Amino acid sequence: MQGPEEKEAEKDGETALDIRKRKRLERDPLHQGLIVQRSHLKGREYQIDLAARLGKTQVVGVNMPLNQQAGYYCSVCDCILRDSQSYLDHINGKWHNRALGMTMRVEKSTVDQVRKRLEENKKKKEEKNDDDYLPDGIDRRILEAEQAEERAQEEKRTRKLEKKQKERQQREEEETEGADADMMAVMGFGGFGTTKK
Amino acid sequence: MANRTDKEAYTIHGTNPQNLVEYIVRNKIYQTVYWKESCFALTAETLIDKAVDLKAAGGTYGGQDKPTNFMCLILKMLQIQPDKEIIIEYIRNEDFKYVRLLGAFYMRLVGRPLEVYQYLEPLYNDYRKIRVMTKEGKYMVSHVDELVDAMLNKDHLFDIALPRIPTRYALEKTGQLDKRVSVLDEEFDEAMLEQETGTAAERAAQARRHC
Ligand SMILES: [Zn+2]
Repeated sequence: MQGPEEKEAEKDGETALDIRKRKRLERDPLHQGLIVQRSHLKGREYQIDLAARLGKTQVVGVNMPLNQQAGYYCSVCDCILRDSQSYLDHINGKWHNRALGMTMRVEKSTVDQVRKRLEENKKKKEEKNDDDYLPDGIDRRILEAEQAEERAQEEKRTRKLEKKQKERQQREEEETEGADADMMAVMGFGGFGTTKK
Repeated sequence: MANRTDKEAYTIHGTNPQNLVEYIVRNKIYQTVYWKESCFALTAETLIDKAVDLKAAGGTYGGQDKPTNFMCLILKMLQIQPDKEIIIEYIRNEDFKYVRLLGAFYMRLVGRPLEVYQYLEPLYNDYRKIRVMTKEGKYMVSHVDELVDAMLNKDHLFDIALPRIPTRYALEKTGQLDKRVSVLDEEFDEAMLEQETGTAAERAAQARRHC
């Protein structure tokens, strides 16, 4: 991470620290006059998925451009972090968040916000049907499972009944059809159309 | 930085509130992934989203003394210092046990003795089951009222030295606190009262017979 900066320092007679300070100011939107005031610190809206690579140090090449080197690259600050831990520390740190135009202080919540958030979570919990492990939850889930099974059996029963009914109907129809045909043959007419004379 | 106490936070018991969590535990918390990923930039409002997902209360556990998520959130609360009304809201909520416990434990750490009794004692009527992570790293079933009792009567809980508060008895003596009436006491009193009126009626009946 220090490599290129040190080289630059040799050229301009600036120390590495000077350069770092200068770059920080260049990235600071307040210092650049792009904002009037830093905003409160806000949470990240994305999930950092580091778990898979956590704690694994990766080799960082020296002569490659920063964004092509191995490790964790921060595009905001144009720097490379050796491992996931230092990357996390970096994106949680003052300079990174200052570059994003934020202070390190969060907004003070109000009682109303807190009440609303509790209410929202309650609704979410009810929708999710609560996967709590405690007896209440289990009881309810067992009940639901039983009810579902009952419903399934009921359906099976009705389906069977319907099938039986249909079969009986079919049998009866066949029988009546057969009877009709015989009758018609006996009575000498071959269809309904011929009854009108 | 991300671990610094809010600039406008009041000192608690004469010190930076985060110091209530012992140095070693505090630094262990700062090193956890949970702290770095999930606790970053939390407010008293967004902290609720994390608290509703808690599966246990507890301090540190295992050979490495790993801090529980519960303890991480307590430290976060000490860092951002929510208003008292917000803590009361945490405690009053009935839907999320661990939100309630966070509020109660926080109140125990930073509240004035009278407030501590005032807001924690009603939780003696909350018998819901909860899980506590033990030092050995095993889940233990406990209950909200049990934990509240520990908060009020123990010196240490979850690796934290609880600030000293006068005993309830001392506060009753000086008249700062009324005698606590528990639901059980009330039921007991009623039963006694019924029994007494019963015997009184019997005695009255007997007396009438004798006349
Ligand atoms: Zn950065």
